[in-house]
Amino acid sequence: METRDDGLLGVLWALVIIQGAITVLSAIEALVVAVATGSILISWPIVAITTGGAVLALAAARGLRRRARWAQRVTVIAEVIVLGSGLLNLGLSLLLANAFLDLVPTLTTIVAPVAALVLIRRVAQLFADQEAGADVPEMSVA
Amino acid sequence: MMGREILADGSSDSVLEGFEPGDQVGNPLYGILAEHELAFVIVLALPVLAWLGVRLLRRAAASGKPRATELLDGYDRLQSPRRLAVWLLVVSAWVHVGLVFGHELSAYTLAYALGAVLLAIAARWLTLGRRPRLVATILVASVAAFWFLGAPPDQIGIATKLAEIFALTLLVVSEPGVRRRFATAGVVSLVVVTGLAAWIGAFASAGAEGGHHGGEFPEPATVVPFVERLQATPGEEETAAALFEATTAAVMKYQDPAVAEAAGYQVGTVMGSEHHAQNPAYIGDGRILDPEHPESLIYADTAAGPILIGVLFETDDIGHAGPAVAGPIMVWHSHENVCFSLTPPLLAGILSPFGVCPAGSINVPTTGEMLHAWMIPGIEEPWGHLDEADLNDYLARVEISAASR
Repeated sequence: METRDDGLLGVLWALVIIQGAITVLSAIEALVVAVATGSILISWPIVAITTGGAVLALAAARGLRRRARWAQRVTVIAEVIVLGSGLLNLGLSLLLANAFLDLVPTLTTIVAPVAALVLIRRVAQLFADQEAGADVPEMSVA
Repeated sequence: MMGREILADGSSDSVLEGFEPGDQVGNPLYGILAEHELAFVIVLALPVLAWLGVRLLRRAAASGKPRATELLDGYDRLQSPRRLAVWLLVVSAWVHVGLVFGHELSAYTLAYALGAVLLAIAARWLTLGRRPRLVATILVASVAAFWFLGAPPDQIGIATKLAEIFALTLLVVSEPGVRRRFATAGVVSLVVVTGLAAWIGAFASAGAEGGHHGGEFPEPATVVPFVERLQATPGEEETAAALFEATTAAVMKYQDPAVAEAAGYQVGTVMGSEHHAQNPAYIGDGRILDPEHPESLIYADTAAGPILIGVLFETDDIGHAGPAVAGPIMVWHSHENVCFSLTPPLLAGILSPFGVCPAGSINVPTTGEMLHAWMIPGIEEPWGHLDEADLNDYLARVEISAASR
């Protein structure tokens, strides 16, 4: 039987998977730009960091499903970084272009990380139970 | 939305609708198409309409209407992921309704209407716990339709597809018997293919010359003023030719990168086919479009060594238009949504359709205006956009010539 927290964990998992997938696309784009501009030798850190971010996000999603505490911490750090970059970009947009962020960046870099952080807070008890050694099954909302 | 009209006198005129001369035109990838504005507005009204709808449904259920009772009971039984998926389907269906009324009647409007009906039916099925696989199929079909019919993609289209993929993911997470590993791979594939389709659609929507001469959508991340008149006057042609001649004569000495370095240009190691070397002393110096002091030189790395292929003029400040001295021949452009890396400091790309830059880079929302002049023999027009095929042909000729010496 699903608990309320269990259901919210499902929503969190789906959100983190989508964010990981977007980062995979971003890594591909960074690689294409590096190759196309012939700057792979100096821009490889960007490709490497973005690829690492994508792998970490997808691994964290897997960890969340198992209610691993490390996955919760990684997700919190990643969401704070995404939100920070979103707010920085919002500030730059207001300052340089006198405009708010477009619809999609607002959703992916402001709304999504805020939602993920709220969800993590709401399902924190699940991770606490896991750490306390309670017999918690892998996420199964069905 | 766009097209080219040949006038009675044989001149070609522009033809983006809904713009005034001087308006800044960017690629729809970072904006909302005029036909999609209604969809955006009615989505903003959705919370109020949803609240009203739920109230009416509750009233109908209270008065004994079985269908209303069935829907409310079904919704109450749903788990959190499915409840959210239902609402995402409602949002997507509602966007499609807005698209129907935003477009003139065509095959597209019929497709949008079909999409709205199918997504609404899917939301009902999901609420009642029926046919989850068919609901998933409808969602995948709606996303796939965007790959083939979504050009030019805009913020409404991309946001709607993200909502549909999110709904599909929520459906998968709550569906028994679905292996999570396959589900993850499927979702990642859908997102990546949708992003790539958006890129292809965005570049395909740009004019043949990258939109640098106005009158067409520019390539993603490029912004050009709307140009109503594409034909230059003889006077404008003379001005453009004289400026190009003066510029070429002034920068010939920089064919040797060492001379450019000595003059303050940051050439460094020339890499790639369009290596820009900026002179910081000329940035914001009050001299705009000065042939003696172009802000950047452009080199190409070849087997025969670096060669000077052009210059870049820049305005001093963001928001200040470059001097329009030669009408549609010399159209200044700016950039938007450029991703600039801090690790190391360099251009990392342009903002993804999903609104993110690569990790470690920030989004520079806009730049000052700029204008290229290309010193490549044989090209049709030295100002503005350079056709990549022309550049590659020239570089190949240079390398063959160097090898035969």
